[in-house]
Amino acid sequence: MLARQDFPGKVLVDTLIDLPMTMTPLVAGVGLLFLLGSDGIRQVLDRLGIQLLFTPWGAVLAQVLIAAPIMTRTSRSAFASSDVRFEQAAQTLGLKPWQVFLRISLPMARPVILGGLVLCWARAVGEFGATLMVAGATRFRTETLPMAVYLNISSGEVGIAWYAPGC
Amino acid sequence: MTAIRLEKVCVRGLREIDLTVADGELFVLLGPSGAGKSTLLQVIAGLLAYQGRVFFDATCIDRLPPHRRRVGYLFQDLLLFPHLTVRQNLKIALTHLKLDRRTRKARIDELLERFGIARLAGRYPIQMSGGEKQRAALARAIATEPRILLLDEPFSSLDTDHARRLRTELKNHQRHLGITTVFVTHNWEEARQLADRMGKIHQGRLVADGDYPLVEKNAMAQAGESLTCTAPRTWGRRWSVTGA
Repeated sequence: MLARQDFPGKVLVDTLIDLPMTMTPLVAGVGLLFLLGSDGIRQVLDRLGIQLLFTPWGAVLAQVLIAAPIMTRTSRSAFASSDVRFEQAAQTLGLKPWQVFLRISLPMARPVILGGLVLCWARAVGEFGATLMVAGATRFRTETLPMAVYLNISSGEVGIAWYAPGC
Repeated sequence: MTAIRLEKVCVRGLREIDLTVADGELFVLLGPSGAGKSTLLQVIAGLLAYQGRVFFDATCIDRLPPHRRRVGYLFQDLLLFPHLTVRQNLKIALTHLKLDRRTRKARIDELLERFGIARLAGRYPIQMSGGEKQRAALARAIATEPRILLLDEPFSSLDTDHARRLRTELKNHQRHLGITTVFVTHNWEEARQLADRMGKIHQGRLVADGDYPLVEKNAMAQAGESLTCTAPRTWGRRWSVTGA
């Protein structure tokens, strides 16, 4: 949709998606911490029985916040650069718009999207600042790879800190 | 089959086009590059927003989206899906017919045989020659059982002999199926070989519409006249030889 269509507020949506990429992860994490910790949202989450702050799910959320724009940006450029005439050809073959997307557009963009997924995964695995703010640094609970390095360095376990990224 | 009627169609580059193509007719639209030939095909296929009205038989199809118009479209660049084999390209064209697996396979096999591409069924477009791709793309366009066939300079990238042979095949297929066809070209030779009737388009206007010999005769007369006056002016003049 972002690649092919114009709609009111497109620039705003585009900017909001890109925003975490332009911010320091730590700041993005602080923003997410305040947002999830605000009374209104906390009450809604409590009512639904969802715990995000300082839990592994919080770490996942922080990683998604930081890494998702890479995926969105890559997918967008993949669809924008693909030849729209292939989609037109598919339409003349009787394919409905959702069939055109699933059977033509998506498979043709697949190599670029897969590349984006790898980049996204690498960014998420290495995410530190936002995860620290939202999920904290608790051993064996929210201990992501960079967090393990940080915890071991800060407790003087340099050997383990070197070993951690290699496991 | 289906007749096509265009009434006062206007769109980027096209100005008030009125055109009728009879049921089962092979109509050739001739004109120089940028004249609006491909745009006209896109209007018929519903791929462009336009002003004016388009009818298939007596039914106005202006509100029908492209996937419901049942139009077979052979693009100039063929546009075989590069991630699919020839068989898969044909299979995708049969999606909307909702055939059971056995009928679908039989239909694909029949198309592969009819267009002489059975040995290429498992190949991807990148593994095929220009002529083979033309055949596969034509088979795919016809696979949908379209009411109308639209061909946009499909043979322009082929050598003369190959193009002539494929034109003969196309004419035979068109006769066999009795399908109403609009063939776009800038080549008089193609028009001569294929046309039941033809039109000439220039700068977005339909400037001639009639049988091939008469359109050619008028064009030659105009060209002769143009030697004694300014050449481009004669292209834009409108005349009609229909029923002459």
